Amino acid sequence: MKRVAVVGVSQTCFQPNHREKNFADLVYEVTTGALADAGMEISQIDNVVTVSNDFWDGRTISSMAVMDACGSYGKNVSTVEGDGNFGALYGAMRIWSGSFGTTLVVAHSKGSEGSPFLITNAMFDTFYHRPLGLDALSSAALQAQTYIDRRGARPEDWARVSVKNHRNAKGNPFAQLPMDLTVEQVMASPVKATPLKRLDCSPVSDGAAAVILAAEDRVGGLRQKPVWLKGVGYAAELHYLGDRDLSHPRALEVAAQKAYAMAGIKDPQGEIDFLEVYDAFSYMEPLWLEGLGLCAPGEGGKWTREGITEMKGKLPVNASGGVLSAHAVLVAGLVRFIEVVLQIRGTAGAHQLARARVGLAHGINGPCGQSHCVWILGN
Amino acid sequence: MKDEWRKKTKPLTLEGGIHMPYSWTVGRVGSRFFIELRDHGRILGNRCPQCQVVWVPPRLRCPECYVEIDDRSWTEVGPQGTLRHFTIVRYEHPAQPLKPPFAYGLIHLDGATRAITHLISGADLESLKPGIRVKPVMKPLRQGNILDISFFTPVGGSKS
Repeated sequence: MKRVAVVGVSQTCFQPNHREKNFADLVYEVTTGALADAGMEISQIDNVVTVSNDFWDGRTISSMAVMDACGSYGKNVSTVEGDGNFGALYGAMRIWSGSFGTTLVVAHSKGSEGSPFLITNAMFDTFYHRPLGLDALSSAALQAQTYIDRRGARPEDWARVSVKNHRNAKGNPFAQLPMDLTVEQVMASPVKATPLKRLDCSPVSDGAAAVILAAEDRVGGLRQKPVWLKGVGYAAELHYLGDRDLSHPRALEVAAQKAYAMAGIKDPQGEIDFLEVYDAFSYMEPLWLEGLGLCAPGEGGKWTREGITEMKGKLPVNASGGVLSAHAVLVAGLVRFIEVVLQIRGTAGAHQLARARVGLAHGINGPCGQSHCVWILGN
Repeated sequence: MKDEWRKKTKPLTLEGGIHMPYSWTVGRVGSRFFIELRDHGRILGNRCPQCQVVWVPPRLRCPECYVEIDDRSWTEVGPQGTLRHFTIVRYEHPAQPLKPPFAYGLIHLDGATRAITHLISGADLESLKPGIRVKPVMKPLRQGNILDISFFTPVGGSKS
């Protein structure tokens, strides 16, 4: 199997409403951006993977609406309907299989155009859950409360996650919500669904992102030093919320162990320098740290409290500001991947970490993190 | 001047929407579950012959063992159960079946192995605690869907 590298990345700035750009415009911006970053022409792209969702775009086969914009004319193009981190997985597989030498992966979403409540309500099964009126927020609140009840998680620790990530976002020019907050402000923000408050929740953003992946025999002569895909793992668990222990992310445990094994990582805490995880809600960051096997069950909050996950901590998490600071649905997982690339290149700018040789990028799909994809990237 | 139109052109938005009717086939297993609920107010589950988990709602095959669940394994569960975890919802949307504040609960029905998700109402929500007993409040006119149970409410604590 050939080694595969990331050779180009691009993201739009994330805004509540990109009123001047439709989603094809956003895709055009990141496609040309990633090509420029890589120092490539569109003719050097062997195939394209697009990431989109019909409900968010308000049309069927939403991938077709961005075909022109992603430069796929005359090329093999396929689509992931799910998080962009899984789009990168599909793109890499198309190279690992030997079918293609390079893949462009593009993801887009405009949360401002539809109804986030109705669209996330529609991710639930039609018979048993959707009629109850559940959406992404209320189902996450059930998971957050289960995390408290079963693992002794503390909302004050989640507030620290929100404070940290919004502060980190101040160094990230693409983030939507750079803010100076206090734990007290987060705790005093209006309750949306107990135990989650407004400042525990990510915004819904507009934006797009793109990456270019290349086989090792195609990285020569390009503009960027390659960042290598060292390991990947992915897994899913059951769909119905009541079938699962929501405080125990089993699928993430499986995905993480597979990714570590592929990357030859025996001591993840010692060998991984930093992480970008999918914190759609503040409590998710510590819960995913537990699922990643970096700390014991119930210890995720303590890591935040003790500053381990700070930019200057032992294991920085979401130096970019995370999903809490910009959440274009589907795009956000690919942004985690891009942020890990920027850190390893050493070009993250104001939010650059001192030590960033091996990074972990994480994405989720489905209610309450039903499925997870974990990447290990390195130089 | 080149590109001056960009400054002059105020971007438009197009207002629209999609109403898309469906007739979703429930399947035999789900149909039996909903018919029993509609006609008799009973809640059914079924037991995996391999792992012995009693699944509610019932399944054609065990989602974990992937073995078929045979006809003899149907079993009545509940109607009462234990509230394991809950959230009190404070935001409003027309697609919610109840007006906030109301709660969603993960409810462990008596005789089931895992939990179901449903609405919690008809009581002082501040009095809810993990571990309390809850019972379903059935709709008088039932149609064969999950909202034939209006909501679950604490045993002895119901206002309705």
